[in-house]
Amino acid sequence: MSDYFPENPLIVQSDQTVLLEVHSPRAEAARDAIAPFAELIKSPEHVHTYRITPLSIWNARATGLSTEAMVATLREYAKYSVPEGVAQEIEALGRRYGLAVIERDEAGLGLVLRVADPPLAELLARDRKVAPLLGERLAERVFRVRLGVRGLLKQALVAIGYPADDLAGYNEGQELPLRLRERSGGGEPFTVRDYQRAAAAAFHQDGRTQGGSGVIVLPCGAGKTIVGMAVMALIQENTLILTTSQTSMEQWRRELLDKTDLPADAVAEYSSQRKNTGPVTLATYQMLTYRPSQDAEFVHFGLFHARSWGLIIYDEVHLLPAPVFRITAELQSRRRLGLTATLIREDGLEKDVFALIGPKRYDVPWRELEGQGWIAAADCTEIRIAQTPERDMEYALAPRRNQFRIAAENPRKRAVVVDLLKQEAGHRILVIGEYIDQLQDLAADTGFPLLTGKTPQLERERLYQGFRERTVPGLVLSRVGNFAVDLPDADVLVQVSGRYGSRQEEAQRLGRVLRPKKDGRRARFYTLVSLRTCEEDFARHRQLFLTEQGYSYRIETWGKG
Amino acid sequence: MAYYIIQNEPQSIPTLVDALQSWTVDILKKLAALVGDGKNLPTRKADLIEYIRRYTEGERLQTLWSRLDPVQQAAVAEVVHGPDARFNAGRFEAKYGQSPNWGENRFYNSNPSLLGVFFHGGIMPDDLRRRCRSFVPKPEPARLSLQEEIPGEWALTYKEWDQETRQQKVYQNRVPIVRCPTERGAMHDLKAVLRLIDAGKLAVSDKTHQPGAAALRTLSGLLLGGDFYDDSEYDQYDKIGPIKPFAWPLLVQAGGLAALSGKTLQLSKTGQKALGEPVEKTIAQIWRRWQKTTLIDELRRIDCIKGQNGKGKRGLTAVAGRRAAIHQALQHCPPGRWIAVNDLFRQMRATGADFEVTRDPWNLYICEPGYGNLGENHHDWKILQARYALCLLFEYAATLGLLDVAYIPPHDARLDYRDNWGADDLPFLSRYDGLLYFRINPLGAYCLGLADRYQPVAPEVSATPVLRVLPNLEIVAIGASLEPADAMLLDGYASKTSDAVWKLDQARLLEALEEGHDIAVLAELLVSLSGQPLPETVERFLEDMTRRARSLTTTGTARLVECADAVLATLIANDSRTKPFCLLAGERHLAVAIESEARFRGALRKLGYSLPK
Repeated sequence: MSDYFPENPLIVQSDQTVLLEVHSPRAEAARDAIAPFAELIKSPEHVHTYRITPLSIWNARATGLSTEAMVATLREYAKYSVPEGVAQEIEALGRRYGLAVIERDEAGLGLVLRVADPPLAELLARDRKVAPLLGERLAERVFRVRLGVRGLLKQALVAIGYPADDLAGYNEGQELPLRLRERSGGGEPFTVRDYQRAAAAAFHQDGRTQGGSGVIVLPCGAGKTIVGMAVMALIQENTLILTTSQTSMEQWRRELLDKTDLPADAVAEYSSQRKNTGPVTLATYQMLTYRPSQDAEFVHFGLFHARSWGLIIYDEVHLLPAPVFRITAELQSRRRLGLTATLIREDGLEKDVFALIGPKRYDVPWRELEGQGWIAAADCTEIRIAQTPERDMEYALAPRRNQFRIAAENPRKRAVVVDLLKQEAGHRILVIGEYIDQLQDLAADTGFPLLTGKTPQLERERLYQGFRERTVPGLVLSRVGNFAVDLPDADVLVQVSGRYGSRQEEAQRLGRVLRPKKDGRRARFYTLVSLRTCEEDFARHRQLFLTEQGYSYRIETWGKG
Repeated sequence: MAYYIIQNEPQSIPTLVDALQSWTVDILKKLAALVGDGKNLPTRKADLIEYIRRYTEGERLQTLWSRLDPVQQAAVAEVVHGPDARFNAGRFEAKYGQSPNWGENRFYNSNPSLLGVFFHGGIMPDDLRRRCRSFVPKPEPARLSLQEEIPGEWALTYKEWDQETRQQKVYQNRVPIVRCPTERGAMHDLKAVLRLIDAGKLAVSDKTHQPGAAALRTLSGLLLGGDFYDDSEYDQYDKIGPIKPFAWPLLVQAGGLAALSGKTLQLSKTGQKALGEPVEKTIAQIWRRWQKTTLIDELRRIDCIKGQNGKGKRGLTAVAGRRAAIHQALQHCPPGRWIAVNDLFRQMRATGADFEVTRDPWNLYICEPGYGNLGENHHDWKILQARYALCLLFEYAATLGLLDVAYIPPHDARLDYRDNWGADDLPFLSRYDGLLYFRINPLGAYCLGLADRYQPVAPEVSATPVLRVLPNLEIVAIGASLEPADAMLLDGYASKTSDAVWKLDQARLLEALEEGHDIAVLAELLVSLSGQPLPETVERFLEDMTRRARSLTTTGTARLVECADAVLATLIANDSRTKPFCLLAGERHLAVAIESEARFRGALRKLGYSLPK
């Protein structure tokens, strides 16, 4: 190989992935240098994988990074010469960003699309997706943008590979005086962490039109809620917060009242029980996307126009449902903040997040936060448990669709849970599973209260509160425990069954125990798997996800010491 | 050593007098003059014989012997203490580098030296031989000249006609000698070749079993350090041609590790096993089997020697005998010391460990069958035997890693063929002409039976790992030195997902196991190239896959028999006569193992049924 620099940490591959050798002395510098224009795909021990995508390049261009700088960065840290195709792709894609700019017209009333050169103008004028969204051609390179299609135009431009730089700015929302407290409601000192402050600043861009919309990527437990509040404190306007669940809504409410000077009546809930709006309004995606029938209108979309929102926060933006994208396309004149632990969407709609919510503004790898103690370190253990011979036979004879359940409900798991509870006595334990019968048995075995989807919201809150206040030593949770349960002291999670190989579920569940512990102890995440069943294969999918996130992963066989 | 013994020639002569009887008076007079004082020489034949006999009587024989020069004395000693009474000129010259002085022999005018009294037609009379034993000391055995070190350069001597001085001008060109330790390379290369075959990517001719151009190219890229020579820069006329890449496919076939299947080689069970076995054992086995292989006659590789087909082929001696002679000669070479190949050849001839390549050299030729034939006086040992031996040593023994070699390019390295008709334009007679020295290394000592066990060379410890095995079942090549063979092994077990990344996945691994691969080989490679134990997730994954692959075994083929109804099927499956040979498969079907079919049919007939064939 002609060019080989063994001390360098990057291997740039022709498929546009970049491998980062984390043990290299220059790894940290390289990571910081490529993070703005490459997405971290996986970060297992030893080697992390990044991918350079059109979106990652445009995200970087949106922050002002030049394509020359991106290529130079790769060349500086690459072990081998950078494939010419990769450099060309970065340059070609990077150059496209900003060729189209959406801005206000001279009168400041309407919007215009200004493109860099006449050929592109002709291309757009003839494109079947873009042309219908363009109005009158005001000059050779300037088109009027039809009313109300700003978002759709941005989506269309991203789709054809010419993302627009949206400099049209935002409508002013109704004012909301909001200050972050120095001491929380409980009297404990409260400060916004440096990375949270930096994330908020990266989003706000000092109020310039270059900022005000985009996505902040932080790992579970890193305090995305705090970043949201910090952004609210910078913008000082009425805010609509969209979350994934009622519990999450409760969490936001609790945090807002605890860490900001907002009065209780300033935080309204738009839910099935209460349809209130206020300066800060909380709602769930489920609520917003409700419609009486498949052909009916979304009856709650009126919420987006109910007040003069200066900011809309999309929590867990990777789960944003498609209808919300549609309404968001109409809300491009509002500031939009997406919060998430991952930009990767199972439905592949990352481009819509980029076009409609905005580019990635800030990203911190979880390892860095773990190193700084902002999220807890976690050890993952898979425990394989043999079934009884009779059950093995039952499993073998069962139709394939039922096999997973038989394996998941292996009765021997109960004994293992009891053993683990003994082993982890004194810790704050969550037992989480998929099947209610099994969970009921476990609740009986452990004496922990059981929370399922049927548990009334008030009862859930009471139990969560009890867990937080240590009056309840542990909880047995069904799938309701997957999302946004803020139980900061939970440090042991036993997963008795899961939803096949869902990696997202695995991440969410692990997130439950990643809040930093006051005494710095490591979180422990146990997964119980039936030996020689399809559960092993599903567990491997989940295992891959965890190892790709960099968690240590052990595999034990129960009953073999 | 003459291949034919001429039947009319005597093999021994009982007495000196018998020997003298065969000479003419003229010769006898000259011999009498040599042994006596030269005065009063008789003239009659009988008197002359008596005269010479008298002067060889008693202690006079010793006096005569003492008048011989040292080389002549050596000639006497070699025969007196040798296996028979015939003087072996070739062996003597090989040992002493010269022939003894026999005197002058011009046409019909012969002037013998004193040695003529001891030898008659190259044979020493038995009575003389017996008597000489009492005073002629035993000759020193021929010894190899062993070298701790070899020179860094080799001088090629050329002669050129100088127009100005009108004289031959001699000048020298110094060529650096390449030293090539082969042991590690061979161990690597063997595995690489086996893996290539395992991947189904090594095609050879179905007629000759030799690799074609594409296979040679593939192999060249795989071998550690490439071939002995890189002739890519040479022009067409000077190209040397492949050595190692040519040898390996033949070696593995000869060793029983691979066999032709269609147009590609396929690993045999032994070959599959060899992937996980200690390499030295496999190499020793290949060398052992190579001794007897008929896959190729190494002489074929001396492209310039033509006429090896048809009549010429029939005259060629059996290859096993030639290889055995060379193998035996190597067994007399002490390991760890450099030996000049010419010295080995000298030793072989001097000790009689010689061999013939052909019974009829007239059928072999260089360039042109008429003028260029290698018949009597147109070739010597160096043209045929030496070239054959060079090929075996260089192309097969060194490729297998038995011999470390020191060599120069073959061009002008051996000019001994240049006097043959039409050969002056050839850049070399064989591509192996550049081999100068060899040294039996520890692997060679083991394979040649000179050492009981193999003491491997210390492996080169890589300061930086070549691979990283990640807990998410990915394997990343992070170093510059991932060998193509290792990459190929990874390809066999894992899916390559990008330039430097392989992913272990269940489907690919199970496929590899199904094809007979051993996961231990993969694990061993991963550990050695990463310098670390495998991550627990990877280890467990490999264990799981191995367990699953071993959970099912093929025990044979069965015939599926359909019965008219479920009752009959149950009856046959449970009848004590048919039960041992069949199994109920479903309601109306029976499975009968092919090897039990005859007995099943017999039992079935006893039951009153039959199964149409």
